Amino acid sequence: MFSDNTAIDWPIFSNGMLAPSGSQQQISEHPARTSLDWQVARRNQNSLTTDIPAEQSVSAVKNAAQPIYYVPKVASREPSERASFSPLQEWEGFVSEIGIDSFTGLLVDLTAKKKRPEEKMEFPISDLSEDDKSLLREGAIFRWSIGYQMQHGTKKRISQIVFRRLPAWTRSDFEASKRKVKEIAENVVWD
Amino acid sequence: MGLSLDGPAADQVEITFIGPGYGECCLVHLGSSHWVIIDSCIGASGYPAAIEYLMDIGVDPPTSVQLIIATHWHDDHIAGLAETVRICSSAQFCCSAALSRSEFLANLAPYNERTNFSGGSGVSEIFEIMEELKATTRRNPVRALASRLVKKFEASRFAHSGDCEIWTLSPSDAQFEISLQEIGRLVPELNWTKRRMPSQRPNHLSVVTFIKIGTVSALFGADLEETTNPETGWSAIVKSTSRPQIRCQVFKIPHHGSVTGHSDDVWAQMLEAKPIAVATNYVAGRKPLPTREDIVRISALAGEFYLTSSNQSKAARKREPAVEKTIREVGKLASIASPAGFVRLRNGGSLSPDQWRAELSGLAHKK
Repeated sequence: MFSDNTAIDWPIFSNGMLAPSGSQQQISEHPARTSLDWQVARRNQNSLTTDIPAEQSVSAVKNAAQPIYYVPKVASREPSERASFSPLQEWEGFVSEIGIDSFTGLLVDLTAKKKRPEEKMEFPISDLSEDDKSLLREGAIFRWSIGYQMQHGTKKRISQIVFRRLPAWTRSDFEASKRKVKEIAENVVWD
Repeated sequence: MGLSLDGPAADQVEITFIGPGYGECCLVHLGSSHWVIIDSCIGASGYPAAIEYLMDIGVDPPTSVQLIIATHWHDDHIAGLAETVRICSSAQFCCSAALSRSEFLANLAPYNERTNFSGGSGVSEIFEIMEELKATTRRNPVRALASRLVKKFEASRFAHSGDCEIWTLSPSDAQFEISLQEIGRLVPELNWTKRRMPSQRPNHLSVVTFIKIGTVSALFGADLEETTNPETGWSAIVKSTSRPQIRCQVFKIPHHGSVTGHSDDVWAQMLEAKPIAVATNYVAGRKPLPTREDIVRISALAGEFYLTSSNQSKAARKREPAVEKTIREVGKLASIASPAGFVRLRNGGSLSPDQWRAELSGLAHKK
């Protein structure tokens, strides 16, 4: 365990994770600390720990009123090389119809910089991850990418469908839409 | 375009149907350079097909288009409609009365809030049109309702000396209430992932239009479907006693020829025997329309039957071999964007108003 830190500079390791400044020496003394894959954890009053995504951790640490502990993640092996994806072709689509074992998507070709759906494709529902299956509904927006995945020196051609999870409707969206409708009602006079 | 670029004579009625396979638009020349546009699709240059066509034949859209009717807001009927409304600055805009009701717009409006989808929100054209109507001093928009005379021109306006009436025959009050409830069920909730506005089926709010020009009349079926409820769909129109009781010579077949839009009573009570029938194709669905069965059914009832396009699935554009190979492994990618097909009907003017001549271009064909 490290001592409490409430405001410190955070060097970013090559893998994008954060580590406390001046603490590398201490880290390297732990058997598992040869890994640069660190989790930043915060102990709350009930002694529960919560993982904080790296990109959120700086503000979380700076604003934290409670003591903060930095716990190295135990790595069972050397960190694996991150897979990189190089797209050859990408579409954005929406679900227009859903059948028993497939769904139809109307696709906007992003690679060709199209602005309207000009192609359709029937996708097997079984190609979707379980998470994405739960998002399958008419109007749902997804991205279909074809490209090369590079990992461990190997190159693999893949097709990937990912359903959009964000953005979500917010209160400000509903308020803005109410304002617009009110303006229309006040300014458009019907015969 | 493939059609002759001569405009119609002043005393000639023209009805042109444009259909690229995904999208449709109809234009009507009432006479003496008075035009009506029903719905919108995109033309070859990326502009609204109706505007492209009018300019190709030497018509000035800002001064010649008198009325623009939006039958409903499905993508295949409204692409480019906002642009059409902007360009046709002297035209009156007409759409389902539902869109004049705040509670109805309020249900659709959240879909237009920063959906950030490349292909549009599904309701963006509606709100663009509303913004246009709000910002300009153009003539007030008009509500389409069952059996409503929305525009009338005196005979003195036209070289053919016939008067002109434009009626909307739907939606009925019952259709309106059902749709309000259905749209209410689509209203998104806080924290839901944003999505595109789903299409509403069956489309109870579709606006059916009847146009009479002198002795000529035409019925434009939009996407209205028949239902089991006699107060909605085609049944409600057929039984109405307040609509014009005139049989039409030209029929724009509803809902791309689908059996769901078919009503024997329409053919028996609203159309002349063996009318000219025109359907637009719909290739974006799982099952393209019209089906072979639909074509057989309509062909048996119509004197002449034309389609604006073809259901043959069109190959998607060529891509590099690795992409092509992967696409084939996943499924069959098909293009839904084809050059627009045209079916142009022109009558014989004042001398023979009931004689029609058809000209076709693109994938349009006679069955």
